Amino acid sequence: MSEPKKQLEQYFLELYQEYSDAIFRFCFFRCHGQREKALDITQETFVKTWDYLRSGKSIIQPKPFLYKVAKNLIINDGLKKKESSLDFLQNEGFDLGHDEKETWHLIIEGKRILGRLREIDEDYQEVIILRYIQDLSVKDIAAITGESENVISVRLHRGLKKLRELM
Amino acid sequence: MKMFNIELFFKKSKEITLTKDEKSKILMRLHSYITASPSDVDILQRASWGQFIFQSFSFILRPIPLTLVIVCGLGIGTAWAAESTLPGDTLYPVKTSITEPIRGWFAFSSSSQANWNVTLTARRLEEAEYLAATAQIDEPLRIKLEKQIADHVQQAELQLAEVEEQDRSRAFEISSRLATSLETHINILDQIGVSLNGETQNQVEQLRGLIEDRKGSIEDGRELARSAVRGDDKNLKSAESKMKTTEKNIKEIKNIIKKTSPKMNEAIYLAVQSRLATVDDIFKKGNTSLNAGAYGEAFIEFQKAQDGIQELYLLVNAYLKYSEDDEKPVSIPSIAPRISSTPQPEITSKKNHDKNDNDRSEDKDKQKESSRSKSRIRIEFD
Repeated sequence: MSEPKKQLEQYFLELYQEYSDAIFRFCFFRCHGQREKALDITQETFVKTWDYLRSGKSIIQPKPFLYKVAKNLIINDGLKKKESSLDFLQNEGFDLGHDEKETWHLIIEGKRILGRLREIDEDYQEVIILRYIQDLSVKDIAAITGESENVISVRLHRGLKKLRELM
Repeated sequence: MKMFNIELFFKKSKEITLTKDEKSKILMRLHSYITASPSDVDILQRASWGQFIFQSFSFILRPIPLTLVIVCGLGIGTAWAAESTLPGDTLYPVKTSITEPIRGWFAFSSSSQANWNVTLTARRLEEAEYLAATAQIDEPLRIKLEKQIADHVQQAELQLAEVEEQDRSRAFEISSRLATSLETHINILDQIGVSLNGETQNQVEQLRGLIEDRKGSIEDGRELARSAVRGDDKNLKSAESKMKTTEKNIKEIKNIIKKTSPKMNEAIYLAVQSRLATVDDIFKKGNTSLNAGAYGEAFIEFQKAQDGIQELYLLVNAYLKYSEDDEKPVSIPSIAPRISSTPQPEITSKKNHDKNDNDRSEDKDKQKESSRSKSRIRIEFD
């Protein structure tokens, strides 16, 4: 294997190690808890990223790039608001309480908040997920969505306000 | 109290990650994909990145399945060469036992897996058609193909049952794709069969019987899925997304037909145009339903248009491969309906098959030459 290709592979695999969990989490929430679908899209995101890199193109900002690819794949896949039961929360980190009472409280609260989150506009949902679940900066979110930082800040403010109102 | 709950929700949400097993599974698949895809990069231009510790990756890669090791051992060239082989070729088992299963790894969800099995079914059917058209099909080959087709269809049906529980519109899309594929390939086999005689014709008829049998059960499933989708008028986004995909596919099939039309005779060209007009009409009906808020009906109309595109594509491709003029174009790009991110059926070109024929034994070539006259095969569109 040539040295440049080896370096490229190493770089790509490092991207995978660094960002796969975050990209999966983003897909998971944007796919409304469909874990298998989120796995498919996470994998496809990295396949597309490798195709991009191996064609000789460079990625200046890997994090926004990966999120953008994942976002486009979700859009292309036609994922829509689903009336799923939200039961997935029980298997996804919301059952970590030390006693049964706390566990059920967390699950019920998680379901309630997620249900409300789905009721608000998708643009708001997206920035809230990216900012508060993915811990991305406003600058990164602006790069992913193609909006200005100012627009993102406004969306975050309004989105949270709407979410609180619905609670 | 309320804000506390939201904060707790965000905090807990961050704990959602890939499991260790999922992470290594994807990594293995990516590694096999990287190995199989050559890089055009000679000069690496990228942002500076920290030191990568390859040892850690090697550790994760230890449980690589035997199949991947075999692919690496055989060499990627061999694996790629095997992709265009036919039953009876030396490398054919590499394709069906190694390269295709590895590609199948890339399907996680039930819908991706079902789609992949639909693709494999289509591949086997195209191989059967080529073997029939070149009078190479005999009983052992026919039995082998029948078994594979039956297995892939059965797998697809099992996976479709799971998809049905999660997403009815997707189950409808996939079952439609499979039903249209089976129906169109029966049509193509029938037309190839007309020009055959004796043992070859007998083998084609038996194969056709099996496909017809499987088609029945797939069509039943499609009808059930269609009824479920028809009643779902709440799903605006799903119908809109379907409309966009169908619109894109109509554009693509029109481009392909434009490019290949110089190779068609007048009657075929007119038949193709007539079918295109029908697809356009169905698409318009879909838009009318969409605007009227009948989203379930709109989705069904758009799927019907997709089925028309798929059928037209398969027929045009068969015409170009098997019609009387040997100088017909050898390949056209795949435009199989985009249902998911999984690989779509690749229509193997005549050029590929012809290339493979060079690797076949001289006896087979002689037998092929003497047993068939390709100029008698006709693919019609009516």
